[in-house]
Amino acid sequence: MTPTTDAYPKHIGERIRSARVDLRLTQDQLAELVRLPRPSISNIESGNRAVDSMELVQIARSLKKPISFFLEIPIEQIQDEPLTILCRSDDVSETDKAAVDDFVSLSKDYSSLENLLELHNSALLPCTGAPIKSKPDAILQGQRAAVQLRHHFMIGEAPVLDLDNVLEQRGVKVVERSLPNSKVCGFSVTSADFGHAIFVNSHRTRERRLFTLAHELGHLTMDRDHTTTLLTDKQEQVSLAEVRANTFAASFLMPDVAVTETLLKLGVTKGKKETINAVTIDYVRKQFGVSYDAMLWRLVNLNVITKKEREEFLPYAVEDALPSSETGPSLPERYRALAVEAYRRAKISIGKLADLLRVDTYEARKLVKQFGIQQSPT
Amino acid sequence: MVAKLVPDNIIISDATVLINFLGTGTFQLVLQSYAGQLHVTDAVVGEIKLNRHELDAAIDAGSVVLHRVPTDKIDHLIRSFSDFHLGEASCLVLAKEKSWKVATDDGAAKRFVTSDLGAVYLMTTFDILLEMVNLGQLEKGRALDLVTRMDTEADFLYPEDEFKEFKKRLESL
Repeated sequence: MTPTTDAYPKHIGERIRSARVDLRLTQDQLAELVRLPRPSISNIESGNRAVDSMELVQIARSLKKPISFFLEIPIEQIQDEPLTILCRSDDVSETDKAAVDDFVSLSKDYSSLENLLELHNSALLPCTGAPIKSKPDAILQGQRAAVQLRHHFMIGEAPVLDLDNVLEQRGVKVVERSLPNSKVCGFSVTSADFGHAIFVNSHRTRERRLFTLAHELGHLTMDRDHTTTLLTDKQEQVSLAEVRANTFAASFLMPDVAVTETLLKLGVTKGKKETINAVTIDYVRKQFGVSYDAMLWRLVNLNVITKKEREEFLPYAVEDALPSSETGPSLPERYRALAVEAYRRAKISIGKLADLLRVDTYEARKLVKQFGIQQSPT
Repeated sequence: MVAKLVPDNIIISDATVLINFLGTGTFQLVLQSYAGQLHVTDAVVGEIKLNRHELDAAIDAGSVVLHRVPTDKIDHLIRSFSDFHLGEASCLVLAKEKSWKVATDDGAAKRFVTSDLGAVYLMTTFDILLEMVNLGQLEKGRALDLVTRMDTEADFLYPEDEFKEFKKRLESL
């Protein structure tokens, strides 16, 4: 018997659609996965047909989302939600909106796990920004904030190639997802629900992903009352806040002292163009995990080369590789570890663990078995 | 609610126990052995993949009673039992409402049953196997073999202490 839609939360259908779009499945493909006729999926998504519990469990399993995801109202419809503004941007496609929905859901689950395990790891980052008076002021603020945050993180001057791990350990949630046809590089949000979180489009070069992460970190630390920001491919430095975030990213990833020391070890002297060449620049930028272009700009700003010399070196840029294969949605490693720990302490059930890991109960059992995890006695 | 000293002879099972028996093709054996009623919710059935047809057939035949979770109650269930999957939550709520025993191997579910209903309302896979041996439906050696099979074929999850306790109780039968 088809369930009626009386007293039925209509947004469940919209969430099913969002999750399906996020996985880039057609209605036909979902129908096949859950063994329902295609028109049923269409009616469910449009709110003309309710789902029963059995169907919801199967749909959740097929769409790799926790059941709670389908009960939440889509971000786009929540007036006070900062990401609503982001979702309404012209640069954000339907697929991107679905990814935003998933990002929020995952960040909430992440935060719930931290609370459940009493980790209280969501301390806010120090706010180091001030009102920006001019472009030079934006640059100066970005540089200072980068130095201060490195000091705060106690990471010295060394390259930070694993910035995602550094941030995860300090309570900033980092979620990566591949959006191949999207203009979106990343976005960040500060929420009362889950603290700081950064989304990075993993369908970008490793160097671009690292820079995006650092750029968004800049917004989180310097933009007072930060709610959300969006970084896209076509984005120009239209606002001083963006200039500041970019300066922060460059300074944070390529500290003045560290870059200079690395160059010195290669026999490069500031102001002497003959001591530097494209191979040297390529070597140095790899040490810091940034693109050739990003390193060229950094060398200009550190007065190692001039803008004119930058243009001369530019044609020798080696194109960085995109990720070799498209993998499915991945979960942050720390999030996975927290979920398993919550299960081990019997704070969540095996079914809930499966929900949190976006797998079915069988896969969750296999995983727990594989790692020899035993639940604490009741 | 005050827990009854002797619960009804009805068991409502979550997926953990069903997966063990369905995964090893011994679900029918349980149904034949058990004198009471076995109940499940549709959310639990939705979790079952391996040998699901056996469960469906038992429901169609009336040897397992199926309960549908009203769609408008899903949200409330998920929010009230945020540490559980919908399947487990629906099973626990029905057990509490009706004073039924709960068949589960999950630590969080066991904790809930013990604290909210009483230990007498809890049945694990080990308890069911012991009951079958006790009733003469299963030999001791086969019960142990079955645990090994559940271990390898269905990823049966249990704390080592419970297995030791099971073996001790099995020997004493």
